[in-house]
Amino acid sequence: MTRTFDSKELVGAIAITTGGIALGGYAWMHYPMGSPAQMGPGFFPVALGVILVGIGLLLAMTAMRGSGSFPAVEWKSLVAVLLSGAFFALTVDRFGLVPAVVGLVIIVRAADKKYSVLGSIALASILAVIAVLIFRIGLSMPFAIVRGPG
Amino acid sequence: MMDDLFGNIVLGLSTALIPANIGYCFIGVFLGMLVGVLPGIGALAAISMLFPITFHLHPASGLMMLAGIYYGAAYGGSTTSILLNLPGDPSSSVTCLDGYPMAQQGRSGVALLLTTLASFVAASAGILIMMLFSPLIVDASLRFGDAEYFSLMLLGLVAASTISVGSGLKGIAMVVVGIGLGTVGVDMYTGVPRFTLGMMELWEGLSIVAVAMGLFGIAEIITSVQAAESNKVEPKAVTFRSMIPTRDDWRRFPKAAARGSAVGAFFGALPGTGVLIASFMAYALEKRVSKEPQRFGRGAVEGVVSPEAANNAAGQTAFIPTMTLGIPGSATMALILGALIVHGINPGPRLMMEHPDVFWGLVMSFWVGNVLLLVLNLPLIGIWIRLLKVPYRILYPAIMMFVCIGVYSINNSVFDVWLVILFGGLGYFLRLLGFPPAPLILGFVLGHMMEEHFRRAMILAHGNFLTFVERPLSAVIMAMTAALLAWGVWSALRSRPPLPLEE
Repeated sequence: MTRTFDSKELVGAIAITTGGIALGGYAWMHYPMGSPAQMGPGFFPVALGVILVGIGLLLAMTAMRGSGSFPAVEWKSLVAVLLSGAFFALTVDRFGLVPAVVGLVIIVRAADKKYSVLGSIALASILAVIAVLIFRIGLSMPFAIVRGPG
Repeated sequence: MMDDLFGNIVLGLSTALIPANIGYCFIGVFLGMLVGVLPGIGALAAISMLFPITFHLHPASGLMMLAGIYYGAAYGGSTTSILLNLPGDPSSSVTCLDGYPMAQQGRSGVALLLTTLASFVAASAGILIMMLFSPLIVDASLRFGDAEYFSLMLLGLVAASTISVGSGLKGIAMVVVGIGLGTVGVDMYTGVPRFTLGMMELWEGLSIVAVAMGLFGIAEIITSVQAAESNKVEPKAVTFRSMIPTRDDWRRFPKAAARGSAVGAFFGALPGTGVLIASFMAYALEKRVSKEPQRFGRGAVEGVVSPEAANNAAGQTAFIPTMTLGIPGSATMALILGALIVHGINPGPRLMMEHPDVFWGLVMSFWVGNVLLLVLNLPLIGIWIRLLKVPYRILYPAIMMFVCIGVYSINNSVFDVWLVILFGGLGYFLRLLGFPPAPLILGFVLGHMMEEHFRRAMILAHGNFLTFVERPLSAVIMAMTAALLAWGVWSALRSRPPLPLEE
């Protein structure tokens, strides 16, 4: 007989337990605990870590009794959205607001089922104009709109 | 005491009626209604997106705007529930039960008019309660010491994570993770930088904006892009003529609105229960007291009026613990507190004394906002219906852009943009694994304060952990927390089917 368990719940339980060990362990090694009357910087984080490990183990217990599978990850949406943010982060200081926004929109649209190049460029231009109007002109924030490299 | 109240009302009005503040209040309620109407974007995501703008405003103006989004969403959510049988905002999901049948019977106009009226009546009741009770709570809280504050915050966190979100255990896990993330930065007692991994940017702690926008804004986009593709809806136009209620409707309205307001005002002020629970409770009560319970689910007017009254009353009274004690009952309220903290205002009982203009200005702006909502909601319904046809294809790139620019604009710091991306990815996987992100934000905001109160209480008690149960008031609160915790763990272990609730 094979034991059934809920793999989604188990992954969650392991993540919480690992997080607890990492938080508590790191604090234990690097920061003094102090005494209850005069707590050091390590006391609170170590306590949190211990609680997390406890919750993780409880979650693991419930996971071992259920059955279920790991849900499907929307890799395409995930990668497109995170990459578009990364593009913005990499370009906004060096090239300015408009190039960063245009690139962001064109990349994030890749999450769509149907990708239309023209549609993306049109949307990117409209949103870039809106961004400049709201943030640079409306709220007069000190962004460079376009900046040459170097 | 009545003289005080009068003086405070005048002070509040003089802040709330500054034209610029009316403007910010308008922006807030307008956006709130917008996100309330649109399914898939909640008030929480909208507040985290507008959060960066409040850095550049007077704290009162910023708060008025953020608060407007919150209660505006409660108004707007009912529109989609009634017209499409699809809650625009989770707090309006109960309204579908009788609102959509009413629409099918050609009575959507009546339903919309009565929910708008009920919302206004209930919100007014909620505001009055806040005006009368807040000073009393502040007076009472002056007797609280550090142990009591720590216990209260613990109770708030446990309540919020066990009651309103599916699995209690997972909610508590998220609270603890949030508190843990809150410890990043320089320790205020010893000056030791914790978990900064050698990065100077982390000395002041993780930016609440980056955490909130990542968990709610970005994670929501990733989840919704594929799901929202098939959003084809054709709501029928609503004419003003169709809004006229029958005499029977009018007869049923006052009691249902009053009961809904009372239930909502009560549950709204409690930590952890919030608007969603309030509207469910109001619906259940209405069905129980009705002489003809069989009408419910088939277009009963009371079934629409009462829950909508409840969620709007709760939306207002939720501000009471947040603004008087500095203890938010939900993630949305935690963000509102966060907006105060970034302006260097310490939330807590002294807020009302030290910044009466902020407190009373906010309360009075609730009136302004609710009048705006009452006036705007019905005439704009045509616009809202058309907006429902805007495809998500166009919306989500815009949201992504606002998130990135918004978080960058706070300090012109690319570091915060990287943080938002990191928390966006984290938030997506948390959702995937069924961990609710809302308690994390609550823990994150309260974490600092909890640690501070905890350590100070321990210093005062010379290291005696029993101080939290030896002080009578603290002991009572701790007992309530323990009971809730036991219930949460117990129900998790017997695998109660999780309710997908989120506020």
